[in-house]
Amino acid sequence: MTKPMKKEFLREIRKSFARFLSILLIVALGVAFFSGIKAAAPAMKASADATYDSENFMDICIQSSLGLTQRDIDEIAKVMGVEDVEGSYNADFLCSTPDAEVVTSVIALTDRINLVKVTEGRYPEKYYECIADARFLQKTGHRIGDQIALSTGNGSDVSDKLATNLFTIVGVGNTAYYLNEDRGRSEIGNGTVDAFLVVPKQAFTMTAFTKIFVKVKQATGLNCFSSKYDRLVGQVKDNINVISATRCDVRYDEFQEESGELIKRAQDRFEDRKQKALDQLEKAYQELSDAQSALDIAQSEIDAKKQEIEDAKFLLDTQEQNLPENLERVQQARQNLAELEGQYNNARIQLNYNSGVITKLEEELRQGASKMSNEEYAEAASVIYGYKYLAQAYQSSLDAIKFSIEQARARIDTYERVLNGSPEAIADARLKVETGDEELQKAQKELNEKQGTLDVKKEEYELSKKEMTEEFVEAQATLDAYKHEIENTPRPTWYITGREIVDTYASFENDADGINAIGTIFPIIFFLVAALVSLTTMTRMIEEQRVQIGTLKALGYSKGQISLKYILYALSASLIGAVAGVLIGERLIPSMVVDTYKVVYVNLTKIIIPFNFLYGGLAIIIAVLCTTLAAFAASRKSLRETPAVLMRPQAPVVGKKILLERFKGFWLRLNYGQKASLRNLVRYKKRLFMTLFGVAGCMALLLVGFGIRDSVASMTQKQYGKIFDYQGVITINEGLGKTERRHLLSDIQGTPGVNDYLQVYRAPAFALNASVEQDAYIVVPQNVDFLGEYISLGTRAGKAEYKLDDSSVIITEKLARILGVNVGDTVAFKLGKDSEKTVDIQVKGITENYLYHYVYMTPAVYKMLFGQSASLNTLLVRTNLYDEASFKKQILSLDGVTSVTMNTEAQRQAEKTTDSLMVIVVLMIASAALLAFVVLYNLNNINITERRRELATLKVLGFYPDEMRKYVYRENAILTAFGMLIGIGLGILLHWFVMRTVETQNMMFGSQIKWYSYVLSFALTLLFSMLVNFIMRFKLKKIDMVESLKSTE
Amino acid sequence: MAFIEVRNVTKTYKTGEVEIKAVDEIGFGIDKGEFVVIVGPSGAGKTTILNILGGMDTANSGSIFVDNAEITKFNEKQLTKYRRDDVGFVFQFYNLVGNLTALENVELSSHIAAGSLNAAEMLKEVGLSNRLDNFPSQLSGGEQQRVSIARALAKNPKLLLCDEPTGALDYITGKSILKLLQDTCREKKVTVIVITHNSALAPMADKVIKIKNGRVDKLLLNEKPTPVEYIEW
Repeated sequence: MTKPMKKEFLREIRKSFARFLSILLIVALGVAFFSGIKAAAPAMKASADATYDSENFMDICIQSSLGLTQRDIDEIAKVMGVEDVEGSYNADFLCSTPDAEVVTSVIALTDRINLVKVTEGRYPEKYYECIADARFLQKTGHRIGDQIALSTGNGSDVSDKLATNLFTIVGVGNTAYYLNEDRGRSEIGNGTVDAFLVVPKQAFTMTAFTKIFVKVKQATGLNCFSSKYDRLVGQVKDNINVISATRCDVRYDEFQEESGELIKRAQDRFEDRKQKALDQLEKAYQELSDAQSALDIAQSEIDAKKQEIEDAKFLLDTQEQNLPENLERVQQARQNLAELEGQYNNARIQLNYNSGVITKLEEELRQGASKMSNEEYAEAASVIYGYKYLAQAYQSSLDAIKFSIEQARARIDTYERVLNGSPEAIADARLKVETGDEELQKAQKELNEKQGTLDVKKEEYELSKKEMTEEFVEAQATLDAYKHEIENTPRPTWYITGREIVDTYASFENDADGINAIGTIFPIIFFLVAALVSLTTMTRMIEEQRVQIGTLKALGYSKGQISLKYILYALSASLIGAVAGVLIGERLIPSMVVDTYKVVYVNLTKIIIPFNFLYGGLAIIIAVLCTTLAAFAASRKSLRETPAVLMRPQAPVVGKKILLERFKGFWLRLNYGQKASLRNLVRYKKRLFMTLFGVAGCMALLLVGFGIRDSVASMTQKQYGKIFDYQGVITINEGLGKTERRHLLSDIQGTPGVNDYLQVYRAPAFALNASVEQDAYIVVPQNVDFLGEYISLGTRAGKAEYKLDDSSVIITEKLARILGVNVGDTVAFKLGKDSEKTVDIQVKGITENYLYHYVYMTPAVYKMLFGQSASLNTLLVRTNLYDEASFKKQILSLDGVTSVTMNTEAQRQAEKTTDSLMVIVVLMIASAALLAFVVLYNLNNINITERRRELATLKVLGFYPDEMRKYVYRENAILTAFGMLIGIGLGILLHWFVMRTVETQNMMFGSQIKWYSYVLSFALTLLFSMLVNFIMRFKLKKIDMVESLKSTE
Repeated sequence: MAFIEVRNVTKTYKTGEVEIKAVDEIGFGIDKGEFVVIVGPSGAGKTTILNILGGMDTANSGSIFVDNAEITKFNEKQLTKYRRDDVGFVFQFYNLVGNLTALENVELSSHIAAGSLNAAEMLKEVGLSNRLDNFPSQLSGGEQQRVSIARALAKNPKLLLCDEPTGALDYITGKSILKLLQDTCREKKVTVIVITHNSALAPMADKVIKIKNGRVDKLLLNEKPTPVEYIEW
């Protein structure tokens, strides 16, 4: 570049600074928008990554169906690539307050991985202290220092899992495990976890860890959303997977052994108890039979005495005359005695034999006990018991015989004495007869009484014996069932997952990618505009300087030297603009976006806005290249001409007839201005397209902006107004008896404000296909016919109404989209996240729905699929009231109600999460305004500058200012009108796309644009374009008529 | 008072520090229906006179009367109306609107002026009855200038201002254009003022105003103007 050329270049910039600035600004704008939005998603991800790193967040999470042990931890620690391992516990509990039942996830305070930040108060030290989630305090109304009570909500004991059910809140904390307000699903309460509590590890009494957290070496240094991180963690996951089979086998054996021992201990305890009870029974029996034999002896004594008296009486009566008869009697008595003695000996032998058998059996049992099964042992013991019983009987009969023998001997003695005629004996007999009778009667009466008492006792004994037996049978059965269950427990498997196991991690990534999707399409529009505008500006500049170019050429400057000026001009303007744009855009837009998302992701505690060199550099290169190439191309075109041609005025524009002129009827009605405008439109095609593009873009962006607002707002309105035609959800205790339930239902019906209700079963479940697993609520109405009054089932587009039948289900739209199923396809479900069993069923309909996912089915279908009846744990209530708070309180005070949720609360909650989208709306509207301004201003400017001569001529011809404006603006008006029409189409399309990409997993936005949004977009576009025209009127006014006298340059 | 009275008109242009007097206390009179040639070298102030006469520029001092109206006292709007109804302008480079046909270009002025004439009629009069629907780019330079004249005449103006009307044309075409202007002046009794640096044209005028350094150098009256056909340059 020669010295005068350099001077000329600098002067050119100074002279046309407005033009220089306009290129600079439009490039800056386009680049800022592009690189800024492109940098937003990385900034979001970097912030999340930093937040995770600040809490030393796990890279891998391992879960197992049988829990995990310290040995597992030790083994995992040895795996290559593993930096640190820590085991943790968690379990869900209910915390009841008068107003609500809060489903609380209780997690163990870890030392190294997944740290918890305390924002207020302190960390727990004692086993009964805890940190509460801010949401927990908000939901329950508790404060630091309060004591809270937990229950399991399913009948089991808190002590199965925790050392205490009472905890004292000592601090408030948060964790990156829950970035937003979503706390996940639970199998207790209403199915949704509301809050979490963090307790020390020693508060857990569980034998196995529920989760193992793993840190991967060198993973902290990587962004956790990058593919590099995925690869690194994936490698370690594979490594861990290698040892998992062995560990699972070990764990299984351990478990079997552990539970075998447990069972054995239980069995022993049971046997012990049984033995003790049997002993007691035996003792009681012994006592009873002792008492009985005592009574028997007493009875026989009485009988003997009676006999004695009888005998004495008889003797006295028949002393002299019946001697031979008496002799015979003595003979008979002797014979009787011999018989008795024989019996006695017999019994004695039997008894001895019995004792031998018992000793032998007992010995056998002692030796064989270890080998015998429980049943065998019990059987053998009862055999022995039978023998013992028999021996007992022999012993007592032996005693009785012995007594009888003595009696018989005494009688023989008496007889003999009487026969010998002993006078003492006669006197003695007489006395006995006199006194004995009375005594005898008294003794008999006493004896009878005692026998009565004993009989009662015997009955009691029999009863308790029966009861005890029953009890033992039952206990044995339970024990057996438990044993069976343990034997049939499948071998465990490890679920080795990355951070994606954390719900909010996945949804955060989803949101960031949504922004990125917007960040792809919109900045491209801007970029295009920037490139086009600078291209037209440069082209115009070179056209204006034809003569100068020609002169320089004539002076002998080379093409390169001449075009260098324009290339440098474009280069310096675009480079300064692009660099400034990157610097501003990459600072401003990402922080705006991250700030907005922080409203939802409240626990995003670290915010990092990294400088995105890739997109920044890319944007700068593209912007500079576009502009500079445009300058180069335009100067090339001019330089091709000879200097002579260049220095002559440019050939006048070629007028042409346009297609419309064939329609004579229409054409002839137009005045010259209208004709000229129409021809102009066709003539300046570049400008036509750019104006159309600018206006259409503006209109489209506005429509998208307002449309997002409409769709988001209409989403909740439609969900809670149109689809859910009920006002509240009451969940009730599933364990209620029939009567209690009936009472509760009538109490609810009787509560003021309640119109009617529908009983349904509602429970979380999982719908899945080969690659996706989505949680959804199963809803089973008690009465299928009434469901339509509470929940309208139908398609969004048409008026098709679905009705449930007994062979299929109806699922909601977004669920169908996630799973990729259509009407008529089958879909798989399972009840628990870890359950292996899935069931398939046909989809009958896909129904309109915006929030969460639902699967509707009849009770029969539920039973068919899951083998159990749906338990009607939920009431959908229709009310007509204004004071929902007191209504809630009233319902909650009823026994058996576990929770009440009013739709207005749910709606508010949903609206809060969608508020963050409003920043996008504002961004859209602002960018639409900018776009409209930049494009329209530039084009109008060029339009007026290019046609300065023509306009000056019109002025000379005596056109009034407004006639001039009409002449110029007519083109704008036509283009604006067409642009807006195109914009509507473009806007609807873009809006559809945007709504798809910004959706989160649990929401579906309709793609609805309200009529007033069309009107508003229309009005704003018009306003922007009129504003530009208003500015242009000064430009028009400034056109000098003297211009018309000059030759065209 | 003459039809056009120019009295002591001064116009200065400021370019940075330098002040240039384009016209300096200039004064002359023109009668109705006269064919006037204002002649002078480049920078003498011819165009400034034309601009002020045509209502395109204003004077710093002095006054100009056209048909008894003092146009130097006109405001913006009145000046526009003056240009619209009373002045016809013929440009050196024709200044036709490229996107309008010959007829439409004429209509451009006939549609706005108060007492305008039929556009097609005007084109016929300038000898272009068969080129009505042609665009400027399809016409030769002479034809374009004829359209330009037709456009100026269609207003039925009080005066026709022509700025170097032959400046961009070849000799023969230029002559025919000048003839058209002269004939128009004679037949329609329109006051025609032609500005040129070519003093050879002076004989064809009723009145020749020679300008030098912003002042009237000489004012000549031709009793018998020479028809254009006999003038050579």
